[in-house]
Amino acid sequence: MNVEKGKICSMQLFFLFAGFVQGSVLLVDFAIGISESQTWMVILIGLGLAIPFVLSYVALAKRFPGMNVVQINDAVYGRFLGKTLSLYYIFFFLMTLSFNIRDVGELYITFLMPDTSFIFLLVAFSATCAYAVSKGLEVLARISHLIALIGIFVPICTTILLIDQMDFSNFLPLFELPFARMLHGIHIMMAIPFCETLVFLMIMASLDKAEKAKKSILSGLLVGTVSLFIVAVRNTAVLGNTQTIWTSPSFQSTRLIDIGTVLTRMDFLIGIAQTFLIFFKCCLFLYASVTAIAQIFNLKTYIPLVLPVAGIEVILAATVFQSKVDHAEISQNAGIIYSAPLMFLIPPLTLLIAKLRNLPNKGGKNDS
Amino acid sequence: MKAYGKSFQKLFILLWLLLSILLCGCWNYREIEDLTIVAGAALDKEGDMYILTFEVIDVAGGPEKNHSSALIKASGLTLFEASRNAISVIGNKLYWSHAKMMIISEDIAKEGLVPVMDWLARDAEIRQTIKIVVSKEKTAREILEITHPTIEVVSLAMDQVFQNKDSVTSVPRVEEWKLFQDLAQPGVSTALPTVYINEENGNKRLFVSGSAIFDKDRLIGYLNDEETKLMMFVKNEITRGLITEKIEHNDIPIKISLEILKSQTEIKPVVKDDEIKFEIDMTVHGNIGEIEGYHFHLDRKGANHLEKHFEELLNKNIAAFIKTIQKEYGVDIFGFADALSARDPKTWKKVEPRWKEVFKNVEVTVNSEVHIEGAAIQKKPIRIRE
Amino acid sequence: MFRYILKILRYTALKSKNSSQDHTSNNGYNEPIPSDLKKSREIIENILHNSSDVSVHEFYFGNNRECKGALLFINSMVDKEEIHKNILQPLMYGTLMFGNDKNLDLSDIDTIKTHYISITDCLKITSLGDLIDKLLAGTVILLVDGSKEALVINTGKRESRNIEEPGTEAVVRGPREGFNENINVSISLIRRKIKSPDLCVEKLKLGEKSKTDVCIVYLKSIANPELIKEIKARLNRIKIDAILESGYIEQFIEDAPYSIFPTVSNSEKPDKIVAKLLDGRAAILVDGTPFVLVVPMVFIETFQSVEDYYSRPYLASIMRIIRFLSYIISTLGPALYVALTVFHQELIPTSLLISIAEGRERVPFPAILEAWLMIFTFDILREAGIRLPKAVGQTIGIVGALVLGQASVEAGLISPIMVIVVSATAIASFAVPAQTDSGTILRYIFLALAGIAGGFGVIMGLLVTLIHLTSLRSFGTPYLWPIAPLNLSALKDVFIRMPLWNMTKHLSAIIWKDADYYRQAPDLKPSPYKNDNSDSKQKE
Repeated sequence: MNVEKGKICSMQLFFLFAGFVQGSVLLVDFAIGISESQTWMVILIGLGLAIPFVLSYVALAKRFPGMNVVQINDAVYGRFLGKTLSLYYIFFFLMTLSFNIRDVGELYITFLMPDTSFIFLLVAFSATCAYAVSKGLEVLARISHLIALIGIFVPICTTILLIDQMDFSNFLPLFELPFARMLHGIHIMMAIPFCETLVFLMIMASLDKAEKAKKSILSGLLVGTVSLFIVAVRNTAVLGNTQTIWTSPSFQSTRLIDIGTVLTRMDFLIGIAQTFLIFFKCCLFLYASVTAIAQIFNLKTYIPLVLPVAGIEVILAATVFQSKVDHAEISQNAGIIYSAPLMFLIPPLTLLIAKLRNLPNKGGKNDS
Repeated sequence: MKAYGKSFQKLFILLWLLLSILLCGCWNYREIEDLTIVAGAALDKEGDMYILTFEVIDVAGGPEKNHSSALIKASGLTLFEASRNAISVIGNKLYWSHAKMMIISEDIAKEGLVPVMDWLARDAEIRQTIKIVVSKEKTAREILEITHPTIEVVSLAMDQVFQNKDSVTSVPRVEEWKLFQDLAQPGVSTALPTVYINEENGNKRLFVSGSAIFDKDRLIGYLNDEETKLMMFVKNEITRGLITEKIEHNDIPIKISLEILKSQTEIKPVVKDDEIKFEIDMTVHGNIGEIEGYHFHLDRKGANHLEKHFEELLNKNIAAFIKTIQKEYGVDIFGFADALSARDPKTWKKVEPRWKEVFKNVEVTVNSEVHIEGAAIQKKPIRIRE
Repeated sequence: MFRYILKILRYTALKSKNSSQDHTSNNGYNEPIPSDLKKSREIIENILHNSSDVSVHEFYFGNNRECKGALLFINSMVDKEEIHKNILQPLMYGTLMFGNDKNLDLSDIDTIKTHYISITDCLKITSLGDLIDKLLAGTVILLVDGSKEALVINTGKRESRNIEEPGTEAVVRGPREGFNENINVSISLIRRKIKSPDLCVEKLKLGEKSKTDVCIVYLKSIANPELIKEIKARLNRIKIDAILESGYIEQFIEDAPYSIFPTVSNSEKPDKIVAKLLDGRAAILVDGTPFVLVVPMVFIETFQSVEDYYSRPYLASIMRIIRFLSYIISTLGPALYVALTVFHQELIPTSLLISIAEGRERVPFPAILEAWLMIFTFDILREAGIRLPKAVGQTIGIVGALVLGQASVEAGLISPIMVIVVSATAIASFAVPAQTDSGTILRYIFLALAGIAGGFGVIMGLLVTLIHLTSLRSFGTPYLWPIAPLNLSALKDVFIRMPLWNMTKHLSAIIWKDADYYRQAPDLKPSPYKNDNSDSKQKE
C-alpha cells in the first residue's frame, strides 16, 4: 500500500521534527523585519497558537496509522476530491521546497560566494538532496539527531560568544508593536516554522508506534522553538534597532563576534549550520513531494521520481522570484496566504469528517 | 528497483563529475596573492566627486620583507564607483574584507554621514566591524600619508590603538554597526573618534584621541580627551581607563591616578507631571594606580577619603559637562532619549517631536559611587628616611 | 537489463559445467580406491602427472613379509623422521619381530591403524578423490595391497613462521603475539584466550584449486545465529579458483562493493579478534595469511584500538578524540586550506592572510594545483617508502623532506604554508591506519570539491559522505552505529572510553537480541578497602 517500507522510531521522529523546525532559523529573519524587537514574543505566541494545529496533524496520523496524507484524503474525501486535495498538498510541498532551495542559493550568493553561478548552487544542492532522499527515509531519520544537535549547538555557541555585545535594553519597550504587525508576525511564525510541519503527515505514516507520536512531536516542536527563540533573542539583543535593515540579521550579529581578534568571523558557523539545517528541511520536503506523487499514481517506489522532481525544483527555484527583494516580499506577504487553508483548515476538517464518518474502522481493510 | 537505484547512483556521480569538469575554477576563485588587500580608506569630497584613498597592503616582497603599504587614489560619483575605478589604477579588484579603518574628512562629516554610509553597509565584503573615525585635518588623505614609527601600515596602527582602547578612556570605539545602531535610535546623536596629526620634532605623528559629536549624522563639534571620557562615563562605555586627579592632602598637592576596573552607569528618567528629569547612577570600581610622593597614606580612611573625593569630582565634572553640551550644542549625545523611550514610552511619544527643546532644558543629577579596591602591588608608599 | 540477462546466462552456463564436479567430489575423482596396489599407484601417479615431489615408498611387512604396502606423500610437506619412527618402524619391524597375532588381518586398514600406527591423527578413506585431496594437503597416505581403503596419517609437520609481533599493529602495552600463516596456529591462539565450549570453529574449504581452509569462529551464545547463517551463505557463494589472502574473501562478501569505506575489518592480533568475538562478531580465518577478517564492522571501530582498553581511560579517551580529529584533518586538511585561501579569504585573520599572501607571492601555480601536486607527491613518497627496504626507506624520507619540502619552497615552487598543511595531513593520516584508503580517496575528492565551489563544495561533500555512511550496512549492522542511529549507552565507547567497570552492557546493535550475556557483574566499581578499625589501628 504505502510507498515507504522503512520504519522510524519515535525518538527519531522527535529529532526529525526538531531539525525540521530549526531549519527555519534563516526564515526568522523574515519576521524580524515585521515584528522587530518583539520577535521573541511573536515566536512564543506563534508556538502557542500553532500547537493545536500541529496536534491536529498528529491526531490525523494517529487515526489512520500507517497511512500517509494521500491515502487519508482518498479515504476521507473519496477518490476525486481526495486526489484534488492531495494535489494541493503536493503543490504546497513543491512550492515550499523551491523557496527553501532558493534560500540556500541566496545565502551563498549574498554572503559567501557572490560571484558564483546561482544555478550551479541550486543544482549542486538539489542533487545532494536528491541523493539523500534516494537513500530513503530511514537514512534521513538516522542523521536527524546530528542535524538537530547542530541546530541547537550553533545558536547557543554564537550567543555565548556574543554575550559581550548584548544589550538587553534593546527589548524595551515591550508591547509597543502595532497590533496589525504583531498579527502579521505571528501568522508568519505560525505558518513558516511551525505549521510547515504539515509534511510530517507524509512521514508519520512510517512510524513504528503511532501512539508515541504526540509526545515526540511536541518535544521536537519545543526544541526547535528553543533554537528559534535563542536566535531571535540574540539578534535583537545584539543588533537592536538596526536588525531590521539587514538582509540576514543572524549573519550580521555573528559577524560582530570578536574575541581577542582571534575568534572572529564566526558567520561561517552560521553558514554551515544553516546549510545543514535547510538541507535537512529540503530533504524532508522533497521526500514528501515524491512519496505523495508516487502514492497518487500508485507507483511501487518513489525513487525514479526523485531526480526529475529535484530538477523541476531547481527550475522553479531559479525562476519563481525575480530577485531577493521579491523573495522576501512574497514570502512575507503572499506566500503564507496560499498555504493558510492547507495548514489551518484542511487537516482539522479532515479530522472532523473522519470522526463523523467514523472512518478508519470502516475502511479497516488497510494493512495494520 | 535495485537496478534503477544503481543507475541513479551513476547518474548522480555523473552529474557531479559534469559539474566539476564544466565549471572548474570559475567564479569566486581568487588567488590569495592576487588580492589587493585594503587595510583602510580615507574619504574626501571634491565638488560632486568622492575621492577615496585606499591604503593597500603590499605583499609583493615575499616573506622576507616586512609588509608595507601603498596608497591608491580613485574618484567617482559614488563610493562604489570610486572603489571600482581603483581597478584601473591597480589592476585588481580591491578586497575589502580585512579593511579596518574608514577615515572620513571633516567636510563630509559636516554634510552628513548617512549618504556615504550606505555602501559600507550594503557591500557584503566590508565587515561591519570596520571602525569609523573623523579626520580633524583638512583632508582625510593626509592621515594615511604619515609614517608610523613601528607599524608601516597606518590603518593597522590605528586599529592597534582601538584594540588597546581598554587602557585609554578617551577614545570611543565606534564600529560601523554601532554607528548604525546609534543613528537608528530615535533622538540619539552619535559621537565618533577623531584622528589628527601632531608635529613633534619635525616628525609627523598620528594621534587617535578625542571625539566628534554629531547632530543626527551631521558633525557639529569636537570634544577633547577629558570631555570624551566624561561622555563615555555617561554612555556606560567605559571598560578600563584612568581618572587622574590632583588633591590637597594636608595642604600638599598630590596627583593620584585611579585605574578603572569596572564602571556601570544607568540613566534613569524621572517623570513627574510632564516634567522630565534624569538621574545618572554610576558605580566605578578602581585600583589606585599611582600616588605621587609619599605623604598620602592609603589606609581605609585614606581610601574612603579618596573615594569621596573622586565621587565629588565625577559628579561635578559630569554635571558641568552635560550642561555645556546642552547649552552649546543642544544634541543628545548621551542616549537620554533612548533611556526615556525604553523606560517610559508613553512620555517619550509625547515629547518626541520637541525632544531637542526638551533636552536643552532637562535637569540632570549625577550620583556616582567610587569603590577603591586595591593599590596595585604596593602596600605602603616609598619612604625616604631622613 | 540486457547485460544483466547475459550475466545470468553466462553464470548458469558456468554452473552447469561445474556442477558435475561440484556435487560428486572436490576434484572429480570419485572412484573407489582399487584394491590392487599397483593399479592404484598407477592411477594416482597419473592424476598427479608424475610430479617429481610426490614420493611413493613401497614396502613389505607382516610375519613373513607377505603384505605389501605403500606410503604416498609429498616430500617437502611431511616429517620424514616421524614416518620412519611411527609408521615404518612399527609396521615393518613390529609385525616381523613380535610376530603376528593370528586374529589380526594385516590387510585390513583398521587393524593397522589401531595396532601399529603410533600417530593419533589418522583417518580412513575409501575414495580416490579424498585420497588426492589429503595427499596434496600434506599428509601421508598408507595403501595396503588388497584393501579398498587407505589410511591418511597426518605427520603434523608444516613450515610456518614463529609467533611474532605483527608489523602492522604495534602496541606499547598489550600482548605482542600475532597470527601467522598457519590457520591451526591462529585458531590455537584464539582458543588459548577463550577456554570455553562456547567458542565454535566451523571449517570449510574454498577455492577450486587452492582448497584453502577457511574457518568461521564465533561464540555460540553471543553471536547472532542470523549473522552466522548470512556469513555462511555469502562464503558458500564464492566460486573461485584460488583464495590467496583474506582480501579475496573480503571482496566477495562485503556489503557495499562500490563504497570507498571498508565494511569488513581485519586484524592480525589475537587479543583484538577475541575482543571482537566477545562483542558478538564473527571472525573469518583464512589459511595462508595472518590477517583475520571480522564482521560486522562499524565505522567507529577504526578509531578504537585494543590498547585503549588496556590503558587507563583518561589517556585512552584523549587518544580517541585525537584519532577522530586526525581523520578529519587527513581528509579535509588540504581542501579547507584551498577553500579558505581561494574562496573565503575573509575568514582568515588579517595577519595570517598577509603572511599566506606573501608566501604565495612567488608561487607560479594556482593554489589548487599546488595542493594537488603536494598531496600527490606525498602519496608517491609513502608508496615508495613502504616498498623499499628499511635502510633505503629512510633515504626516501630525507629526500622527501629536504628536496620536496625545503628546496621547492626555496625555489618558490610551493608556498611554505602549503608544505605545513600537507605534512600535517600526512602525519594525521597515519593516526588512523584502518581508514587510510578511504581517507586518501576522500582527500582527493574534497580537494576537488573545494577547488570547484569552495566551502559550499566541501559542505555538500560532507553531506553526501554523511548520507552515504549512514546508508551503509555491514552484515545488517548500520555502519555509523552508534552515532546514527543513535545509541546513547553505546556512546560510552565512541568518542571517549568509559572505565571498564562502567561498560556493563553489551553492544546492542551487533549482539543477538535474545542473548542473555553480560560482560561483567554490574557493580564492579573499585573502591578503597573499607575497614572501620583501620584508623584506630593506625593510631595504636
